[in-house]
Amino acid sequence: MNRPAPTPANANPSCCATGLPVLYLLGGSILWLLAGLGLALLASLKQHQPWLLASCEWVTYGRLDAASRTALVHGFFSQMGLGLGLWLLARTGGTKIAAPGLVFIAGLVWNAILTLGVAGILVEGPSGHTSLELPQQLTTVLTVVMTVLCLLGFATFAKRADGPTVPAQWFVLTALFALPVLAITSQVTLSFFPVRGVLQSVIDGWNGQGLLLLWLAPLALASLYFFIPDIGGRPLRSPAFAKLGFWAWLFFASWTGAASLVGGPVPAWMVTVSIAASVLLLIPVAFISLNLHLVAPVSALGRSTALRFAALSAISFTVVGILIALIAPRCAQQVLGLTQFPVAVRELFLFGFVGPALFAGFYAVVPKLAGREFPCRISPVAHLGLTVIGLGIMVLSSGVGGWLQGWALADGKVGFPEVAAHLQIWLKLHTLGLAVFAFGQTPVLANSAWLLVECLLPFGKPALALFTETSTAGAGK
Amino acid sequence: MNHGPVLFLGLVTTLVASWTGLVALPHRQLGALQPDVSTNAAGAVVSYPAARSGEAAQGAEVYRSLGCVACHTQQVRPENGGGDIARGWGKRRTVARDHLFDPTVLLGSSRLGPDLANYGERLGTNSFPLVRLYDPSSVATNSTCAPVTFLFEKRPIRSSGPSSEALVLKGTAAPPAGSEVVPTLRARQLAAYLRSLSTTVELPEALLPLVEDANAPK
Amino acid sequence: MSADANQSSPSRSSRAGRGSGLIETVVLLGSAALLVWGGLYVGSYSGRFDGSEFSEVPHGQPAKPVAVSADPNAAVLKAGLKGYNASCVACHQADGNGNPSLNIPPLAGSDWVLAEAPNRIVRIVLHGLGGPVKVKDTVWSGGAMNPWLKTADNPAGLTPDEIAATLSYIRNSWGNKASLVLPEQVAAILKETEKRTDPWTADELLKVPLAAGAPAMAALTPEQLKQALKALPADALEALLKDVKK
Repeated sequence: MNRPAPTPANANPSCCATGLPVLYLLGGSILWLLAGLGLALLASLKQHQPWLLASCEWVTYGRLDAASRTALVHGFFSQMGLGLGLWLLARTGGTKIAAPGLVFIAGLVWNAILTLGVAGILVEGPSGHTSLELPQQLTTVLTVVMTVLCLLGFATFAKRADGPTVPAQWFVLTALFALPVLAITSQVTLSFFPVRGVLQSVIDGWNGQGLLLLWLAPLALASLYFFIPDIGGRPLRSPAFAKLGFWAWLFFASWTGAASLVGGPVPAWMVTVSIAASVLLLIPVAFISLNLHLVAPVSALGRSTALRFAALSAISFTVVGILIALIAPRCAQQVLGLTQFPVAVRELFLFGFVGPALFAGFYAVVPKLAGREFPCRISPVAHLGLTVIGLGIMVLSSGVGGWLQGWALADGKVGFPEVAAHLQIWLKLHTLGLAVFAFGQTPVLANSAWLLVECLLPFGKPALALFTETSTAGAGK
Repeated sequence: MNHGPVLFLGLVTTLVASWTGLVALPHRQLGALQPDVSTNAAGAVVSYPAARSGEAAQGAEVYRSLGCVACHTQQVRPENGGGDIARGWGKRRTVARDHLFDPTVLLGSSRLGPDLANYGERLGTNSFPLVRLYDPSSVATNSTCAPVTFLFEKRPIRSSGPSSEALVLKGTAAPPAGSEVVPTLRARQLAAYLRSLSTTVELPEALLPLVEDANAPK
Repeated sequence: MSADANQSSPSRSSRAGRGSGLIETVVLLGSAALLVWGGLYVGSYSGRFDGSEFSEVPHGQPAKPVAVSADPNAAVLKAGLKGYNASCVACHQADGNGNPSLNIPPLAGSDWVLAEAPNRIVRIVLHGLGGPVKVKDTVWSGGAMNPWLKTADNPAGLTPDEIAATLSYIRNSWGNKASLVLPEQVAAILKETEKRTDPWTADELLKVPLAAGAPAMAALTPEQLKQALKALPADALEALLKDVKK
């Protein structure tokens, strides 16, 4: 389902080494985005239409949910983030990606494994660990592939020209370092030698939060730290705050793993430490927001699609950072935990912060690599507009629904059927939002496909000419 | 900060610290957890939890594979932290020991459906979850639990007479005359697993309340 | 251009707007306050980092009290189980059947335990027991039971209240069924035997009157019944007879 992007005829030859694998990863990720959203839409429908496809075991809600999360996180976010991260390392280091052929092959294997894996989830069922749903044999290969890609990122960084490093590099390297640590640990402790009892849940939480806050978030932040000053044309407000923000983020984000286990069957200290870390995440959020928000001039928003996506991402980052801190304490988790409210926060994090940050990079990088602008100028506007509308409906419906659900659940006198009945309308609204959001992502696929065709045409014409010549020659005889 | 090695060292230190704190130390504390051995009121020595056996253990696999965990949690939160105990979802909070022998610990993170930590106790001795699995709305009106009809076989009643296992179904879910709905092996396994879900044994780290709340629904 | 933008550290004068230093100061102060809060929070709500502490309630502060039991017996028996597990279970075993290979007599079904009034077993627990003792038609000799009253010399022992609860548990477990032992009964016997330091012998105990008059009939053989009645002082025997006639 993923084809390599062709070498654009008029691309700068020096770009090819970097361009091909990056374009391949970005293109593949777009397909995963739509596949993942399709699965998510079906899952969302099944939340309130239980008889839909009920006779088919492959599409139970649990399987669809796991498959869509896997397709989105490992297919879209990870792949696009990785592609951008590698590009950023090459760009900021003034060099080319190390072993582009290997990156390309690793990308192919990644996509093949993930396709099998998502099919495996639908056929065999999810593993039960929310951060590692893929079947065991496949995660092993995926872990190897991820580790190889991350090592290649480090190799690219090592090739850089001398000079001071920049925030984008710090964040990409954090992501590239964290991913193998997370993947290998969870692989060993959850799949190969499963640990006993609730330790599984603790490690699952650690791995899950790690994937969000130490893998995806740094990649997104790297994109913002690079493109906002780059396109906006102003330097960062405070380099010292960039450093503080980076180290504080790294330190606090790595301890948030058990925060969602409030009231759960794990020793109190693990939860307490994670709650404190989640609240203290406000510190790096403040530092980073301060740097990002005060950089871009508003006037620049009008002329750059990338910058508009970056602005959406930066705003969402601040909001979601505050939300994470606000819902972390026990008094909040006791009400809002295990409801749809954390779903809203997660969606805002993924589709409001990480996604737009990556798309900012996507819209900035792809034209450079392809050597031509995106053919349709309306498409990015529609993309952004529908993203904002769809995301708004999704997050608000999950948020409000989850809030009401939480307070109803906290009152033991309210029967459960009543709680579930009142949640219905919000779940339906959520499906609507998701549908708008998913539809809003189709322009980017259309635009990319169009770009691909335009790039292919120079190759196509001679081939076509060759074909017509030989056929006329044949007819002439 | 301008040097790669400093950055690398910082990354290693931070992640190793987090790994130690949230993977290694918990493993040290929870990895050696043993079942609780005590004497019950009748004088018998009991070990809790006991590993599930036979059908119920296979049912845990069915439960995992269908992804039930997406809607159902298996954790009862303490009385001062939510309405779980007041709602009758459990008599005491659940603790680490309750999940000692779960092959995959499925605590869950969403309560689109009710908590199941104590489902076996709530079912009591008479009610049977099989009808609920085939048609949840027949038991709880407007239930949004997805029916798992694929775990059942709809077949013509055999010449030897209706199966003793055939579900008693009403309304639209009832099979046409001359047919019956019988559970497959997996359905029976899943039902056995659901019946085995119970966290009522008192543990030193999770005492039962001395008196049950008279208002709590059964 | 981008790399330059990221690298160059702008001079103070080039920063946007006046008072930009104010925001930084506020953020830094806020961060410091948050760090202090974080330290205090982790310090107070971590249950001493104990793996078996599941409640975040600050240590030193008692847990939220559980509802008062409607059935006080249940509470007593629960406390008794704790006492039994702490002090008795090692010898008499969790099933109350003792340990024949070590000459430990059973408690389950023992006529000593089931006696209607607990006068004798309370004494055994308070001061210990030495010499042979006949339980369930078997003479158990050689073993000696330690005194279990908590004193300065015996800090690992049980308080009178705990003894009452533990004996109540023993008298109502493993099929045993007898009245609860009240803390007042233990206190009274303790007062009676204040000066005693040596362990009791079975013969001595058999002379101790069973205050309510009769031992549990069902648990006794006629031979034992005769012996028990003989052991009663004359006035007690009379009172008993009167009672039976009623």
